[in-house]
Amino acid sequence: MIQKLLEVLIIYSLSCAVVAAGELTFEKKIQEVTTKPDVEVVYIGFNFENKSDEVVKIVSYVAPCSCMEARLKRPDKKNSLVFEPGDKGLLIGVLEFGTFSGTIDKVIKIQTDKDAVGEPSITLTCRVTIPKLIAGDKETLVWEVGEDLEPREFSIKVADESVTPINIVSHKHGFGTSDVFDYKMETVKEGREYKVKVTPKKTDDPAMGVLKFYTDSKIPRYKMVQVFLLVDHPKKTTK
Amino acid sequence: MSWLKQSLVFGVIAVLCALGTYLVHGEYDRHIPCVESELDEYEVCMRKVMDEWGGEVVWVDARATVEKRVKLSSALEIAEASADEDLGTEKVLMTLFKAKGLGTKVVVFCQTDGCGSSQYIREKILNSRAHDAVFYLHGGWKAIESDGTLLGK
Repeated sequence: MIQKLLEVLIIYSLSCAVVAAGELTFEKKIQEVTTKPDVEVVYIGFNFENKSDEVVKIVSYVAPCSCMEARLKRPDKKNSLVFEPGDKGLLIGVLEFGTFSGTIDKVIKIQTDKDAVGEPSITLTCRVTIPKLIAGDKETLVWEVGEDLEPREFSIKVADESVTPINIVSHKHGFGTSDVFDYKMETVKEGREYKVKVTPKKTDDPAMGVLKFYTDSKIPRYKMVQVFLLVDHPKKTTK
Repeated sequence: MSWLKQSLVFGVIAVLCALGTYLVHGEYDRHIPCVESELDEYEVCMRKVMDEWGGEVVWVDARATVEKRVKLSSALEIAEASADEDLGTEKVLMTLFKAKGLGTKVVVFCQTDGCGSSQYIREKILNSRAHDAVFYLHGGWKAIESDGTLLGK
């Protein structure tokens, strides 16, 4: 009987220990942000609090991508990684994206003194969308080897959210594929929409090329649009 | 026995234990752990690339410039911050396209397994249709470094 009681007591105390185990509580572990088109640096904050009844120490907070830096701030201005019960903090991801546009996820990994070594228990995700102000409606035009020399078309459109028009000021074959593909660009609406018709000159062998369109945008990430051209064998998956 | 002698005895015992462990198990294994069953569909272990595929792949370095203190001379470079420009160069595009024709797989790596850049670059290559068998390396550059084969270690 006494042994049974002891067993119950041990199991109860162990389960209490698990429930009360110190951890940091984050308001959100994924933050989604849509930026302005000309953004260079993005700051994304994650508020947290030690809602447990134990002291928690942050051993490390790391952003594995070199495009992001992780910073830690405390509203109580203490210069410490030790969080008493009730203490609050703010982890900030500082992201730089170069000429990137589109949507991308970047993470911050946090290891506390409650985690196994090398196994951070907290992952915060920064999901950033940088609008595409100008883009082709197709990334690649494809013909199969042996196919008729039929033309294909694509459009390059400027998004409505772009207050100013973006003009295509020059265009060219990216590199020596002018002997395989011919193209013609037509302006549908100056600074807003362009149509491009591409015709292969031959499809007897696989070939790849790229068309490049240069704009007058002052924002580096919208200075160039490219569309790939491909003559290839029918698609097959390899693994 | 004084505290100093006791400390010395314990120290010697610890060194002997460490030496014994070294003699039995050999050098500390610095390889990045990689369990295939836990990976994403197109994520691949360094050992699989080197052993099963014989290392015969096109490597794509998706690290940022600041991270490239050491490079793989054979690797194509497509950085996340300039992916479109890098992918649109003749050297990069034609190497990928020729590899596709030869059935040679492509493996993208970034700095670590958490950097996320290699997945993004993989998508970029697939969308260009320059290649269709594109994988990304578990552990990234750290896996290449710890394996050492490609760096002549």
